Amino acid sequence: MTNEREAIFDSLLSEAEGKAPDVTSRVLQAMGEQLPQAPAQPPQVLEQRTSPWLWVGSVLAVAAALAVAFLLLYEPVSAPAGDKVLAPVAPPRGVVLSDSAKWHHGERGYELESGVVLIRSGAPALNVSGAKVENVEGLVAACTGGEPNDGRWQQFMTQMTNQGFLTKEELKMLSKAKRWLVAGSAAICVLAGSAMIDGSVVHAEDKFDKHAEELIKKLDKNKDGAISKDEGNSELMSGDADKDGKLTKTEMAEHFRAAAKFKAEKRAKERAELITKRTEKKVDALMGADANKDSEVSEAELKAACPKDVETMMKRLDTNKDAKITRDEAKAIYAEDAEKEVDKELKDDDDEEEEDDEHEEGEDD
Amino acid sequence: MKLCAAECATLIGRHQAEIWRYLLALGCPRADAEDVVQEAFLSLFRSDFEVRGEGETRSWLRLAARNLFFDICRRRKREAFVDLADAVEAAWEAEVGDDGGEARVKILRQCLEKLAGRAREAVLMRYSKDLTYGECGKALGLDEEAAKSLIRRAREKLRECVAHHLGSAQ
Repeated sequence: MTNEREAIFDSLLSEAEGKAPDVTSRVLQAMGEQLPQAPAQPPQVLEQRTSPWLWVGSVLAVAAALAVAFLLLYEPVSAPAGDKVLAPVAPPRGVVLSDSAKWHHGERGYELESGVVLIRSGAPALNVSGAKVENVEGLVAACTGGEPNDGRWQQFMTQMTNQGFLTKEELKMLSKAKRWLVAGSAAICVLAGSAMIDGSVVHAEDKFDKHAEELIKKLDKNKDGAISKDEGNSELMSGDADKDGKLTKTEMAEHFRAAAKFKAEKRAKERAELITKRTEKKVDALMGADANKDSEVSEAELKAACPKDVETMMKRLDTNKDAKITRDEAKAIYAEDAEKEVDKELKDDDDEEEEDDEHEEGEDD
Repeated sequence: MKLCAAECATLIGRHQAEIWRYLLALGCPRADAEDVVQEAFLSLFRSDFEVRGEGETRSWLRLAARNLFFDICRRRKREAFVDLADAVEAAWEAEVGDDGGEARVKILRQCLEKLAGRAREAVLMRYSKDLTYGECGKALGLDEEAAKSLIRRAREKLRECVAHHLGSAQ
């Protein structure tokens, strides 16, 4: 959150001396090229009139001319005929198109007419040859005209590499696009994370799929591509989502994914609690030095309570340099320390757990 | 969009400063920001977008400006700003307020007046004239590190001052 706030503050600072540039005349001038020319001046009223009827007629004529002129001047600024771009000229955010791709924004939202498209997290829903791709959390490739052959895909990857608009990781994912789902005349590949395709959530092939595949190979004795009650234990079979007595690869992967999510959430909660607890403990210890109870610890108070490293502590904890440490100042610094400590401990636990798992697997073999 | 020239001018006047600030926050160079603002408005006026509420128009313009800026990045093979963009968009309304940053800029100018001479000069050189830290330092007779430090301290003071004023106003 800090970087963007800094960037926004800097953008405000850019106007500290002068105002933002005014583009009004430039925009109106550019639009003027498309606006109809101003109509000619209405005819002049005749100065000599011999008949009152002629005078009335002239006034009516002038009024009509003025009305026409008014309508012409207020001709709305509209897109050139046939212009199909209803959205901003560039693709919507989170969408990267191949050079030859054609798209538009119509009644059904953003639609890819032809070509290849990459869709990142945060992109709006996109229709690809009738298939709806939405809620992308990761990276999705989609193309019209069915699954791309090696040549077409290679060409797209070269384009993306040359444009330099993708991260190295994303480019690496492109080279692994193998599991294409064909929906109508569209082909869609979830390269990372997940996406909703025509109403169904599709996950990228990940470690859970691989693990499920390996386990099926190992346990599927009757070779029907799934695990039955006789082949798997009850814990594993609890992943049989449709309760048909068979655990398929998809169900198993989903089961593993849900378990991993549960574990990650539990861990995040534990982590947050540990950090808070440790931070509070340290802050309380420090605030114990606040002899005059003004909710601030001065250098003298700190020296009296703990003569060691006072200078270093003041330098580190007194962030606004007013020669006093407040609870908030200490909390900010100690929370950073606690985060580092806790993350390191959790990582060590993970490494140990991994070693144990490897050891157990070795014993199983 | 069906607007006459006068209405277009009013709409530009109302939103152009915010879009310019938004582009700078995204990392768009000043040299390009003005062109992108112009293009964003042209896109709006050429589109079928119907002006309903001010918030909707602001969001539309920001999206258009952002996409146009991304196009420039793509052409120049720069992608570094793309990651920050989502975060800037998410924080924008909260950071600049409903008026697109107008009130904050006014307060910022008042706060700048209170800054001591050299710090004020350094901030103006860095943010208004877009000089590098090295160039600011040279103009002030400081080395680059000292200029950086001076600007950082001044910037912090300004931040505090703005926060104080906004706090009082609320």
